[in-house]
Amino acid sequence: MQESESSPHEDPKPEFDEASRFEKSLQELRDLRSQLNYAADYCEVAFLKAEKKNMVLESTKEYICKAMITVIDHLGNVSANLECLIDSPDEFSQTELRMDGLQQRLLTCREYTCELDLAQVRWNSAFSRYHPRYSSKLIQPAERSNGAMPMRDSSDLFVAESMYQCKDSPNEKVPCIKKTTTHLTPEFEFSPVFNGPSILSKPRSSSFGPQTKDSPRLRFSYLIDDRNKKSVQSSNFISFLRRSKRAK
Amino acid sequence: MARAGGITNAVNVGIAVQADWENREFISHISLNVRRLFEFLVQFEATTKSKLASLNEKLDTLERRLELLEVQVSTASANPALFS
Repeated sequence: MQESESSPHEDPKPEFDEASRFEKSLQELRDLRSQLNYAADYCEVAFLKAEKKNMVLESTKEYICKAMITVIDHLGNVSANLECLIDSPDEFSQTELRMDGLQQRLLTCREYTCELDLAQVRWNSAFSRYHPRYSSKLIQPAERSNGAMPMRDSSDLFVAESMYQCKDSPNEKVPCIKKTTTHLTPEFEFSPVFNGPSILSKPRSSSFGPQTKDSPRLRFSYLIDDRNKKSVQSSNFISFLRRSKRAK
Repeated sequence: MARAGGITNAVNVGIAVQADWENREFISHISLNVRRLFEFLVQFEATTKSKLASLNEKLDTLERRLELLEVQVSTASANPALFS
């Protein structure tokens, strides 16, 4: 029997990695199978042709023992190489560490962008304060036809307040328009606040608070009161005329 | 003479029987070792299959995570406003 003399552990080449060692040991095991088949055929023929069968039998027994040892050795070698090939936690841990690092960097970038966004809208004591007169008002739906659109939420209110800034001196009530960094869609327009009596310069009621869509009815209730007063006066005048006619 | 021949035949038969028993013992040893080898191979196959399955699962997980990271990075690099 030709025993394979070269084993993977005796290979002096350092560049052989685990995969190549496993392939080599597997190829040696395959070659051993053909050698064992050839040796079995030879022993059978020698036993049939030999006159001293005891000698052939003993030599065959010794060969079988050595073949078993060799096969077990090769199998152990293949299994060990395969184990080393599969159980390679270093590469997996390194890959997982790299991916964790990438994910951490992405989270850091996300937090940084959130910080940048929050810095624009965060309250600061150094911010200037604005007179409530210059806070925004909701525009009536009737005025939409003129091109003005109502403001929808508190962010729009903030934009309007920042556009009309009241200066420190109470006498100067001229609105000064500032450039704001807050995003504003082009479909919104704000009516400027003028000096003198107007709807927007009307003093606010006691129920001052966040403006919603439901509030315009309350805010413009004085117009309805004026109309009611006029109608009441006209009805009184008509009733006075009727009484005077009856008296005549 | 006949008695000596009978003894010799008996000795030869005894030697042959002993040799036969030795052969049977050898064959039983070999068959036992082959069975052990077979059991080792079966166990090794099961262990290797389970390890390969876990390896495949790890590779799938890593592949999915890598794809997710690639999509996030590409989205962030393409449009920084959408990143936050």
